[in-house]
Amino acid sequence: MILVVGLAQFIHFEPSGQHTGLAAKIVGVYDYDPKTRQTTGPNKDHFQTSEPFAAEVDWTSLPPDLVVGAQWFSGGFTIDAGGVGPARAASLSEHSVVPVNFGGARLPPGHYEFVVERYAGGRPVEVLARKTVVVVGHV
Amino acid sequence: MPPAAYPRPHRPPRYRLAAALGGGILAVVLLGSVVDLAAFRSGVALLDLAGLILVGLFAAGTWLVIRAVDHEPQKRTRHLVRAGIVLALALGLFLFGVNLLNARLNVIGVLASLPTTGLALYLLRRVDYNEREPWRLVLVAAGWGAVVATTLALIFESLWSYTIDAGLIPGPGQAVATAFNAAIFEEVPKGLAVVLLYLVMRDEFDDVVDGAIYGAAVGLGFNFMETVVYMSVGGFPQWVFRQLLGLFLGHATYTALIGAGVGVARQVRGRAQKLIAIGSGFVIAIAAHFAWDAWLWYFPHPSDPGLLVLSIPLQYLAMTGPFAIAVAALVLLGLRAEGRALTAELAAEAELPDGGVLPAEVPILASPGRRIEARFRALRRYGLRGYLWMRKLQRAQLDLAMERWHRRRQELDSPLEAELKLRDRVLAIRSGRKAPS
Repeated sequence: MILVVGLAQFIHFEPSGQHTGLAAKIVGVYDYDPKTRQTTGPNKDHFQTSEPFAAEVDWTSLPPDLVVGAQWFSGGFTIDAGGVGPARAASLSEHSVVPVNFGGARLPPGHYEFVVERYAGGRPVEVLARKTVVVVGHV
Repeated sequence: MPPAAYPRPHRPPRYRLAAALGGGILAVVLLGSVVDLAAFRSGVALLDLAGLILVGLFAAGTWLVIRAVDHEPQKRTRHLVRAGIVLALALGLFLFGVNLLNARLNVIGVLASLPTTGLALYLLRRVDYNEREPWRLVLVAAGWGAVVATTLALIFESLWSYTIDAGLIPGPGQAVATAFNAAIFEEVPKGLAVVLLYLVMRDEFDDVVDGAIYGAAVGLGFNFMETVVYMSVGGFPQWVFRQLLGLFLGHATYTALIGAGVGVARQVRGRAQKLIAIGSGFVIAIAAHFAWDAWLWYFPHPSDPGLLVLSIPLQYLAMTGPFAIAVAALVLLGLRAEGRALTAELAAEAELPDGGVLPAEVPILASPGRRIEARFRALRRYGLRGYLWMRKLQRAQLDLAMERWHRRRQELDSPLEAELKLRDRVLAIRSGRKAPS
């Protein structure tokens, strides 16, 4: 019974037949200046707990009418750490920079996953792109 | 005729000096690696040390194989068994080194977890008071859990992460998939050890009790290595959770469920029923493990340390507790059934004119407490030798009764002469002759 409940939950949240073959383009993950709301420096995959960072998405890589969102997740149990959407890809062109937002001045160390998702019926149904970075150091 | 300058021309004396020098260099490298490893936790030192020991073990294994097939073909089986043990040790050591690297050389974790795991194995082995499992098999099971199962789990869990997990939507679906990943790819490699013991060591695998004990031993080994790895990230609290709270209420319970299934398969007839019993054990173990991991999605650990200290024991009780109670019930029922069967077989053996059991010995052998009493009586009368003799005799008699039980239930693969040999062994021990092997 336990396994059947688990399987049912998996099928509910991972509906089959949603694969469109589309892929979003994540340009990179960069240091982020919260004052200017701009990214700086080169593309990186490691950050310090004291370094704010943000992902940059090329929304033009997707059909303009597609309903999409981009989220940062932290830790093994997918804690929401900021994002944009869901909205049509065309309307997100001014939100190409998606900063990680954990509510504090310093970020908890660990893995951070950035995911661009396609939405249908108000919930994510397909992953269009993902990128993982690591935050090291002490809080 | 004057003696030759070099009596053994292919081994001139300078070779001895060269060999001594080579041995000295090896000893220095070994010693240096040990010191470097202890003082600096040097990865290079660990590789040096493991490499040297591995090469030594592989060399010894190869030499034994050559002896078996070339020099002493009459002792082939014995040499091949020894070679197998040495090569398995080499492989185990290699995998242990890899696991230790994965645990950032957490030697302190190893030292801290050895006593608790060792004590747990000691207590576990004492559960089957009718016929204790041999230490060598209990240690093989724990070793498999610690190095082979952890390695297989790591390989397949990583593969899952890079393939299946990479396409999943973050959220409940992915969390469930992660729980499935851990449950399947940790329980199957652990359970394989019990299945292998069932297939290869049938003489020492009698019933549900033996299966649960071997399974729990595999789980304790796995838990040992997992503690070392998690301590390298989470520190001492991980030791408390995994070596105190979760020592028996975790991997040991899950794999004991698999073992119980295999143990049931040992005593049912028909291939289909055996497969169903083994499959059921695996499914229940996977479900139990899945429930533990899925709980964390619904009830994530609180960040407040005080609440965390409360929430983790609660999780153990709520998620693993019922499965642990199920294992305990299976073992208790198994022990009672085993005890009743042994009593009946001992009584039947005592009725034989040349049987291995005397009528007066039946009530003593049937009761664990009275068996110990009899051993201590022998200790008082004849000293340690008397105690050891009595223990050996009692074990041989119980082995004979167990063999009779299996024969009565038509669960024998080995030839029927096995029972005759066991009876001869009992009679030889009783008469003081050297027991036939």
